[in-house]
Amino acid sequence: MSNLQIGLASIVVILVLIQSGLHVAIALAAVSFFGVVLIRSNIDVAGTFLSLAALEAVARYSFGVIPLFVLMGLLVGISGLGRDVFAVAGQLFRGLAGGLGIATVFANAVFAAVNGTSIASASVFTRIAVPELLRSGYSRRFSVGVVAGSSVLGMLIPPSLLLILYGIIAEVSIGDLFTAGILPGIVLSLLFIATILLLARLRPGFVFADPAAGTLATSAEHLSVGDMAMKSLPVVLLILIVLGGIYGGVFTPTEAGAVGALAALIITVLRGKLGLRQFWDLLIETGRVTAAITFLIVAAHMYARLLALSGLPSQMNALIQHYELGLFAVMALYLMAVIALGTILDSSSIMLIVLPLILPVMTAFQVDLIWFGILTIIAVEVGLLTPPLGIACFVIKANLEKLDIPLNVIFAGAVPFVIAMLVMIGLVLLIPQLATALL
Amino acid sequence: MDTDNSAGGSPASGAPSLRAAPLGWATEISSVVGTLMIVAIMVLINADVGMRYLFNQPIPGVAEIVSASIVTIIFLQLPDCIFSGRMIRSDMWIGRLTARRPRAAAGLETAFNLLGAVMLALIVYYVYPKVARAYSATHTIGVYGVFLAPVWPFYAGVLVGAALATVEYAVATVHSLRLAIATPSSRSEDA
Repeated sequence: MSNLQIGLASIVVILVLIQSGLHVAIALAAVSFFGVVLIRSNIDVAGTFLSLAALEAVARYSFGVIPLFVLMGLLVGISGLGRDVFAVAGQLFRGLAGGLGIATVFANAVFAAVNGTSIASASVFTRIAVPELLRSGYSRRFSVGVVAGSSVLGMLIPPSLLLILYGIIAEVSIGDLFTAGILPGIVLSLLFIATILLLARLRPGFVFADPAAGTLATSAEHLSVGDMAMKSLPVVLLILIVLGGIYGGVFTPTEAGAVGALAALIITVLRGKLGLRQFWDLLIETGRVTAAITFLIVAAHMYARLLALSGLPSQMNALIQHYELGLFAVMALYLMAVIALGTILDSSSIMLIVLPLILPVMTAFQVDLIWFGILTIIAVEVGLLTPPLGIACFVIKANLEKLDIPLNVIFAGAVPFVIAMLVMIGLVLLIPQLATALL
Repeated sequence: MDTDNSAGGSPASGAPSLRAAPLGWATEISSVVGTLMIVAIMVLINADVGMRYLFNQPIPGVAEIVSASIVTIIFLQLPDCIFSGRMIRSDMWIGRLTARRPRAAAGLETAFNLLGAVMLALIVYYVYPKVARAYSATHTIGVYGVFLAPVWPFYAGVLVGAALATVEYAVATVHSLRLAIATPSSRSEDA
């Protein structure tokens, strides 16, 4: 086998192994190790790569962001802040057709600014928003769909673990990525809100359980302006610390993670939501999540080296030149591939597998890697909502508890939001300033 | 990122009865040390930020300690992550296979766990010489004259974690192998 064939075969083998259920990190590490052995006909070279990946790939200050933002997200998740933001948003959008749906999007956008994963958003808002939406006369399909759709904001609006992961793989500034995610996050929220308003007007059967009746009078109490301010204060404070800190140049992302985690800890303790036992469980959970993600990065580091050794990325560049493909064609192919992979792979695996291949190509086109990162994140996130493997929908299903809403209803409810995301990809593609204006 | 992504499946190693007590303790201690290191990092960075802005006096070596700790933290948490079935995987297909043909699925899991054990063992094998060298040559992190710390304790944590993770994968291999070759009568609940 030529080196090139080994490189190509490694991709296929990795995809097959991951689909069969092998731990993703082991699949990446094993295929990379044996691939390097094949290419160099020397097991000790592969061993050196392995030890380098293990000891040095993640030994950087910026990797401190991972456990810190995971811890902060878990703390915010149990703090009850999500419930407060949702109550305030419900009051703000009362009276609009589809108002509670809009409130869900709004609350998710705000929640996303203090938490780094879509999974956390999906589980928190399934428990808070879905029962309330159903009680207010929204259809089952719409109630779960709007939670699924707006949960993707968790990964786009900083802090975001996916942006961190991209920053690590592409070797671009995580702080810049966080800044770049703000505008697209806001625009996507607005697109979601527009989608809800349009649906409520044009397809009321989709949104409401009884289209003739529309929404029922909500049981939720009216909040005074003072109540709203009190309920918003802790979240606003956290956003100021984390985003204000990074954007204002006061903190590095790692420092913002540490200060944000401490602030979230203090807020959660002050609200009486945290016992010692619970805090310990939460810390253990932080450790598990950190180990799972970061070990994946270690393995991906090896895989990137294998690809580089095989010469596949440079060959891809030659191929693109040979067929005289322009940036637009390459980008379109890439985005379609990512969205297609999203139906069968989880977000992190897609990025770890695809980015080492495509980044050299993008560098050759002299593409702004920050802009490219935002495009990648949105495309990857589409996969959270598409069957058969749509993680956000799975998480919602798992958190519904007593409510019995089938998975296919959740997927169906998410469709309008998937369309909005595709529109968003087009927008960022045509207007790069959406990602780069704030930099 | 979707941390807990597809990691919802059954624990890789499963049956607690199979866990010899010493391994259980070792994995737990390793995970506790890793967890405490995360807290330490948080406290240290906050102290650094506080000292810098309030007293204009940053703490030397924070960046170096955080960098070195991250590696150690991952590997110390890894055994517990494997044991509790939280490694990121796609369990859709194998979940269906488990429902239809449990023994075939257990056979596949055996191969997967074995591969995990082999990879972790390879890491131990190739990392060990570097740890030994770092110890005997007293490699350090930091900047000379400002802050220096020996690097071997961090590397040793990596080694211990990787070794424990190897054992966890090995135990999981034995467990899934038993499921795969169990006689039909002894696994009536699988029917």
